Amino acid sequence: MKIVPTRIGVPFLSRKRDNQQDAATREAIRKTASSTSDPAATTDSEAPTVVPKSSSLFVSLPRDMFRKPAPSQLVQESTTNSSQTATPVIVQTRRPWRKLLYIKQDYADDYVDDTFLIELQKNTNVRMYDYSTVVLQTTVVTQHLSSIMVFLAVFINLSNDSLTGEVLICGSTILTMVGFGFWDLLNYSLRTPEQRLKRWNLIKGAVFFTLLLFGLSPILRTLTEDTSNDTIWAMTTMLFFCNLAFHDYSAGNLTNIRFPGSVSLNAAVLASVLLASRLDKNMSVFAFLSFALEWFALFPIMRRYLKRISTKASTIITLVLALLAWVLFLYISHAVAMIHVLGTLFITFGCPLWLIWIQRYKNEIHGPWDEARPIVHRYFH
Amino acid sequence: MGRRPLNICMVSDFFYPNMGGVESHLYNNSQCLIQRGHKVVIVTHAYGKRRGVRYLAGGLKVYYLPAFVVYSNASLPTFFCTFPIFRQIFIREQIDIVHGHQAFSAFCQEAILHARSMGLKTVFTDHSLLGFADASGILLNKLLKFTLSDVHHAICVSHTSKENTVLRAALDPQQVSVVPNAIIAEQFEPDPDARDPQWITIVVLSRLVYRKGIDLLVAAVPRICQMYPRVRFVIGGDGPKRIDLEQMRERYMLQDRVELLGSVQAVDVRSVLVRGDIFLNTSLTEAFCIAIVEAASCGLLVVSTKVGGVPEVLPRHMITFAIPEEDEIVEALRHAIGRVGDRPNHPELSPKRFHAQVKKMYSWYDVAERTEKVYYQIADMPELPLIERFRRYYGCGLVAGKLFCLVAAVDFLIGVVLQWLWPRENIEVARPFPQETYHALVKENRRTANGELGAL
Repeated sequence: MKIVPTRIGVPFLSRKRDNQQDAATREAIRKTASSTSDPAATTDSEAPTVVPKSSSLFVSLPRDMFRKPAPSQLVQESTTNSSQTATPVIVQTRRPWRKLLYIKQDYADDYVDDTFLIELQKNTNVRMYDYSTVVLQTTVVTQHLSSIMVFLAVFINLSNDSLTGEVLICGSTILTMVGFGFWDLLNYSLRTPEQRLKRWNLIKGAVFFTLLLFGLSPILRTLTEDTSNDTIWAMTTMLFFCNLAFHDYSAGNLTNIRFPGSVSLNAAVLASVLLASRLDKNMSVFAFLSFALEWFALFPIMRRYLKRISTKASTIITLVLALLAWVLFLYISHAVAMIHVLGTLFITFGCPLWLIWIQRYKNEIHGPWDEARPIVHRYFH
Repeated sequence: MGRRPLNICMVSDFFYPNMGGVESHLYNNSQCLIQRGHKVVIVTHAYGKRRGVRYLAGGLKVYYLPAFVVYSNASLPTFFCTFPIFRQIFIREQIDIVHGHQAFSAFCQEAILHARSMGLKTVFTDHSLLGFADASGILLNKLLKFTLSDVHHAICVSHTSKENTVLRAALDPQQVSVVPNAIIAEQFEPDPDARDPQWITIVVLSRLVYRKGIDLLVAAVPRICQMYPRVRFVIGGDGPKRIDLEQMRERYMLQDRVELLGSVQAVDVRSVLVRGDIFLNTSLTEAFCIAIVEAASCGLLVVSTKVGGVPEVLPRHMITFAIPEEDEIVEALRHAIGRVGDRPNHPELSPKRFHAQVKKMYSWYDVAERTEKVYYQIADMPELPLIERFRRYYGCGLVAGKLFCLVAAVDFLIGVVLQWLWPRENIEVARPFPQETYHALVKENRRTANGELGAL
């Protein structure tokens, strides 16, 4: 449906007609009105005329659908009987219909007035998207997709021994240290509540956790060892899709992981444990799992910080991640690398176009029947 | 047009002992229709121990059917499972018109579907407003579209509700009538002696839930109490937001000026209302709002949020409107408090006058008369062939249309099977309620009661 700025109904039509009536008729109306209507109606001087809101987006509905032949405003019953006495014209009038329940109106209960649905508003608070903004917003998705690809590449390199566990531990530890320093500095400058966290406690916790993971890695390695490869690959794929779907892409949440995000993290950890059972050295398992936790639990937090402080930094890290994934997969499979590039391009440039194009089918209806939002200012202050 | 008496079956999940607008509409409308010579049967689901067939005053027969209640007294939608029992009732009671109430009621939707499969005339009344944005709204609207695409006539309680229903169910607006709710004005007479002249009392009577705008109330009460030392609040009703009100009362030390009554029985509503000068309604959505009519009938000035059908209900000299915003509510209340002082000098603002005006505006007899008009309008309509019904269902949507056709077809076939299992001829017809004997007995009882009183 096209969005055409048309009004439905003519709100003041009936009034104009009133003005055209001559004075005598109006006098007659007043008489009949005052004699027939109840006191409630006469004291009610302000007629609640319905004025359309100053929005250009009104509905285009087939008007005939809602129109009944308009009741004649002026029914003249001239009693010209055979005696040819010049009987004065008896004027009977109908007062215009009003959207009220407390007065008895001269209209049937199923009468449809011209003002029917006049307060209907369509697509009033639809935001029209700007292409470049949407393109920039997609970076969070491509970032996460690329990070999963990088993670998979690391696993493949580990399992075919082109990367040793020790190197991975060193690399990931250095990256984590750098990230931690960056996080600490940022918290200090942004004055986020996290700066209240005790650094010492944090480091103590990290060391304890690493040692625990190190002790548990032989168990984790053999946990799903008996499961066949096919099952592992299938489940891992499913879990990573789950991770991608439930990941918390918003930039606002910097401290804790809430409901849909937690599903995503759990899926990633489970997938990593499943993959770890395909590795043959305890050291590799430990390195891989600690890397997985850093990559899926801590790295997204850093990406959120980056997105908050600068769009440029966020764009750069997106590019770096996408290129890294591409290069790593170039050594593994050209097809996957190609699909990744095409997918990333599609998400970044194709999907925004799609979204903007599909906006034309937006059909949002508002009217007086909507549940109002209460506006409270000084509540509990 | 033959003015023969009709046999009407009202169906809704919501009936007494449950309390609310739908329930009182059903009961009072049925009573008035019985007085107009029709036979009315109400079908609802069992409420706890209240199950089976019961007679209420005036020979109003109520079937409390066994059903699994899922959420806030609405029964579980089963599509076809209720067909046998509804068919038995419709045939037993020789029903001409099936009148369903309230879209949330699965019973109402199913009864209309089965009634159509049996070739009966159907009417639907919508009592509430529903938006288009949330998931429940979208689902329910689709279902409503299905039910209403083959209903003969729909009734709404206000013009706003009519607009809403027409949009939700994609109906022809000429198939929808507006028949407002009403009150029994005699039960809501003002009582000037019940007021405490020391105070200006603001009464609130509503369920204490989010949809009734209790957040606005919580914000406005302390501000009004601070501005006017002679104003106090009487708040009746219960619900999850009661805690907020209690916290507010503690925080601002208003224990002596804000009275929380808890839930108020229907019979006590008037005694609470007549204590007040101003009635405050802060609802966020309302199709009609019987509460403000009751309050105006008791002679109170009304302050209300301007939502849904509320602007249509009362004339401007009885009501002050506010948009649902804290400052506006406070401003409207200040305006109303100012008017309380004016009342003795203005005869047109006197409580007696209010009562007389409301009594003229709303009456259940009028409602029943207008409902009856709808019934006679559809009673003699020719029955549409099955294929035409399918054509209507098919138009409901790309996927939904086909699904609806399937449901309707299966329902029709079940009807054929039921006719084979329990032929219509073998179902015993219920005996008509002996109205003459009943009224004679009532009169007798009243006379003896009066006689006894006289003897005393």
